[in-house]
Amino acid sequence: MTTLIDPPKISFRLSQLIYDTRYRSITIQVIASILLIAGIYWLVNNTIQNLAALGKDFDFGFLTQPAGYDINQRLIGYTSQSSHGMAALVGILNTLLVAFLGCLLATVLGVTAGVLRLSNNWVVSRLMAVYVEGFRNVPLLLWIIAIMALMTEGMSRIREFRVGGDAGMILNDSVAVTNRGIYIPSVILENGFMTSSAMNWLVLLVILMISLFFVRGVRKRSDAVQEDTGVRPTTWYKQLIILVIPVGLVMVLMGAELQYPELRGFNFSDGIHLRNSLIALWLALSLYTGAFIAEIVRAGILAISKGQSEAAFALGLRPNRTTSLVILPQAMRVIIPPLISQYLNLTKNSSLAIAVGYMDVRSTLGGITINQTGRELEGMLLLGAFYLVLSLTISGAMNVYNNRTQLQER
Amino acid sequence: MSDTHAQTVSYVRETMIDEQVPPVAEAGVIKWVRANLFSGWLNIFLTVISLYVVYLALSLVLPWAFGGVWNAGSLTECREVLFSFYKSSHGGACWAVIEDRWLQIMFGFYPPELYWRPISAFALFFVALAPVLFAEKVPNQLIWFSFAYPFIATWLIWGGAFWVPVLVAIGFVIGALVLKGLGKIVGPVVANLGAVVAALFWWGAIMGPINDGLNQMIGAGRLESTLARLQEEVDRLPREVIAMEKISDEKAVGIAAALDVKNGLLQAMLDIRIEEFSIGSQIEPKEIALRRLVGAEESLENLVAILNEWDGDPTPATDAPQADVSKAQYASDRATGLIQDASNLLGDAIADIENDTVEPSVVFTNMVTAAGIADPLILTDVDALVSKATLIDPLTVLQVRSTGITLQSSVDEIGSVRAEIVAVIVSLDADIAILNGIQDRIVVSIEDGLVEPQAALLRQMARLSALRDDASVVAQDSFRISSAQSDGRNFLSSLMSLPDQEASLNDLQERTVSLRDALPRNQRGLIAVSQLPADANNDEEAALSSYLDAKNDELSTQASISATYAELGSVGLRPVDSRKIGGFMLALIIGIAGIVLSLPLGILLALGRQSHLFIVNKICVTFIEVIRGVPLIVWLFTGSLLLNYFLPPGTNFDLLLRVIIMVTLFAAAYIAEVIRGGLAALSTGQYEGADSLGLSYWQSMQLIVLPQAMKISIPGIVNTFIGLFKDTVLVVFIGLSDPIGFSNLIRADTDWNGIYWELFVFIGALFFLFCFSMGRYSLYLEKKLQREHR
Repeated sequence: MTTLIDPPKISFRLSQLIYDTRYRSITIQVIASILLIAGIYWLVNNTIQNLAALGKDFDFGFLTQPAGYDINQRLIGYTSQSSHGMAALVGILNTLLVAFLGCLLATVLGVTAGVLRLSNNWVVSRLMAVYVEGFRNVPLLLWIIAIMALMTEGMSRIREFRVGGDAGMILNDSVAVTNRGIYIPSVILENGFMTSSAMNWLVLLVILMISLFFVRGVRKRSDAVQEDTGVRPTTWYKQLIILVIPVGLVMVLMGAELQYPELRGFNFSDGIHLRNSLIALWLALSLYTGAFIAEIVRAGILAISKGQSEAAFALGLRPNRTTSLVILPQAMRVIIPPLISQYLNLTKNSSLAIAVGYMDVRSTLGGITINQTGRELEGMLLLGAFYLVLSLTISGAMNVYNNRTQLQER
Repeated sequence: MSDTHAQTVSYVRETMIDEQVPPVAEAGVIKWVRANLFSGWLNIFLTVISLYVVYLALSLVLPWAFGGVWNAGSLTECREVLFSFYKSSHGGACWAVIEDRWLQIMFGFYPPELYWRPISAFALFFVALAPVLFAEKVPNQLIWFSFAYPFIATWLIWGGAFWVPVLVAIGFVIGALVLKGLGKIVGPVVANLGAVVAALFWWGAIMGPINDGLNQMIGAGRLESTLARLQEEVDRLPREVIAMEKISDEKAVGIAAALDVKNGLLQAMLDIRIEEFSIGSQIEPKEIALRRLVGAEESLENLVAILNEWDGDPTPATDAPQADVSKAQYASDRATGLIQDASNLLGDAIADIENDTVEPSVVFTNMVTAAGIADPLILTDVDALVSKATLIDPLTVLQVRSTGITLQSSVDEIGSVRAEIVAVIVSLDADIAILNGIQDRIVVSIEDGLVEPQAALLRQMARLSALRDDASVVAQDSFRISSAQSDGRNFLSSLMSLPDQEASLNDLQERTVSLRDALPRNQRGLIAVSQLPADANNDEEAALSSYLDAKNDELSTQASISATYAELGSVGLRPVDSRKIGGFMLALIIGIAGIVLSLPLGILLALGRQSHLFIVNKICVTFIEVIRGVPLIVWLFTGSLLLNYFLPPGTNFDLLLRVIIMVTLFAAAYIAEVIRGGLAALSTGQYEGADSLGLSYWQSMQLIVLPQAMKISIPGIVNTFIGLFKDTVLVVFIGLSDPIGFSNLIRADTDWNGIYWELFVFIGALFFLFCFSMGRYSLYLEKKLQREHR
């Protein structure tokens, strides 16, 4: 017969706050929050005092005042009379543009280099190793200014493109590589359905979206057919027709034509002018990030055990089917998270635009606007907030993707 | 069964055949090449492309890099020498800029006579690193040196009194003692707090007065002797400056003489190169004319073809069929065009030869000096060939005749003109061939003749650059002496005024106190007039402003007194300002300080992020995400523009220190994420095992969790360090001169304006060296620490 005796109830003593693990965490948290609040109070109080001493206030009103400076590359309408907020928006779009282009090219370069570095071909794999190690171990800033110097010092001057000069346009007289940038042909819609050209392009985009929707439908159908019969119908020509014909037809109806750059006076006119700053930044970011992506891709492919490919070969799959159906889907799961974080790095590194004078958000909002209005506190806060929101959005999207593609463990 | 066996057994081989030599294609290099490089069409394609890319890159880079100039005073000089060597001013690198400025790229503006200090700090870094990197190979006691190293290195690089780092270090010792003492009595939480408070109290309240007191004590004792020494120096140094200037003038004369010799040699070689171009200018217009003549001949040929094919009347009758009329029209149009073309081309050819061919006499005289001596036959050959008249006369006749051609001309007539054109073409072709031959011979004779002057030029340039180095040493000495002289004068005057200042300090203090008492109580804490409430009247404003002025006076007098004493009582190494630190030294200081400081902070943050304590966890998560979400460059700008807003009014400290703080915080957030990965990779069994042994949180972290987590995180940590080291170049944007900033500074110099690649290559190679070896070390460490599969 044992009697269950309640453990002796000890009344709470103050020293338990320190010595008893049950209460100690509360003590630590309380101390931490006091310290945190005190620290924040200290910082804010200092800031208020300093602002008062300088005779400044904390006000975001400057965003609506006219900026008074020009931006040489703008994706939306902007003049020097537009507001500082508008200038910041132009800068944001420029940052996003170079980040987007950079991510595209970096992925292409990185995947190519990563796959080729695993090749059995000694020369190719060594060459890719040199590329990867060379770009990974030298600061990005050096690459940016080196490529900028190559563009401004190494390319032909515009006057050499005149009749009798040494330089000539390439690709059937459609592209001019000059020391002021690269001029490429542009597509213009001569008689669009809408009044503004942006609206016309929007119409085309919508049509493309609809086509993509139908392409998906075709794919789903062929998936279903394959499930039923085991034979996948050939649909690539259907997909191509659905994708190309409607857009092409509408473009023809709108009178789309290529406008080639043409040398008039001291400069090229017409066509699209890709500035040196954009190209240098874009290429350097892509080459640098591409080297990192190559390592990620290589690691991802190596992470797939050899048994997987051997099993696929044993089933009689051809090498390219093995890669596309067995290796890549599994490797993607390893590759995607660090890949996204490289995209994030690239986006953040695009703030090095300052080295070549590319007008990104740091140069407009965090540079000229701050210098002109003297609002460094507000400007830097907005700038930081922009990058933070961008980063958190992308990493949030990454988390969603990760959860979707996570290995379904049973 | 056995029968079968018996029958077959006689066919069983009893001796093995000797091993055969494998076919040539299945062994050695050939097999390897076939298997690895040419195993399929894709591989062949890739191999060929890659080899072509390698060839292209090497053929561009190698001649440039190895054909460079190492001794030159400026980019222009470099280009001249390159032109005289390779007929092109961009054929080689101008490494002279590295030779000239590499010390600056490494050390910035750090005083050259003190280079031993950063170098020894860097060397000691490896000694301090040894216990961490190669723990089993060095004595354990060396770890104490590692703890002392940060203070030693700071002292070596920035100089100053030896007791400053000692006083700072004492703060840590006090903290550690308090932690140990209190820890036994009141437990870890209170002890940690107490240690931090004690250390902060030491640094904030006690260290400064002790430092000032030590300075004052030593300074007061030295006052008399220093005054005497300064007086003597101020008398003596001007004489030394004059003597130095005299030496430097002599050096300048020597340099000018050597420069003259060099320029003479260079000019002679440049002349030869220019002559080489002049023979080219004989050939080029003739080649153009030749092409035009061929064009004219083709036009006439086409004309003949059209006339032959269209065997009709040039002016068909009006009643001819419509098709004939239009055909005739087309043919006659084309024929007229062709005649016009031929005539124009002939005219152009004449103009080419007439205008563009250099006068033979000029070429002659130049060539006599250059090549004729070695190969006299050249002269007679050229004589016959360069004359314009022999070519222009027949061409003019031809042009006249070609304009005479009409649609009615007979094919024979056209044929004769064509034949004459062909004859001129043949003779022109022959002339050009001979001229080319002459040019080759001239080039050969010039190249032979240039070997000796080129060697002489290189010797002279090496001598010149040695002289220049000499002179720059003298100039530095002279600059140092004259700045010592002016420093001495300034210091002397501040020493003279020291008693007055000390006397006036008391009055100032009294005045400040009385003015402060006169203020309303609620305004005594204000630090600026603009902080006064809006309803303040003019009297209050005036009172506040005069109080603030008096306070400023008092503070500045006090600062100047203590600065004078600090200089007077300075013991130890000569202080060096942060602004003088630049180049790779700056990158290394920021990089190493960031790495050393960010690792402990990163570990704490990672533990905080893993913690179950809600508030601690959220603080760490917010900190890490905010830091990682914003580019470093924005943080650096924050450090340089905004840090002053967040600190108490009047605080101002070194830009370099601010950069180190920002870089440390930045790297710590990244390291925290890497270590969090390591912590997450550990199985929960490790945590539970530690708990079941009854270890406290810190004990289990220190003994069980962190050693394993750190091992897993090593590649990530090293990658973060490499990234941090590369990111140090970003400080160029807030006005510090890192290597890239220095490349801009060098380019701002008129001597080296326009030089890019040599600097980029040098800086890039140094960064590559550092980062690549760090990466290799991490691989080695990974292998060494791998315990599982051996």
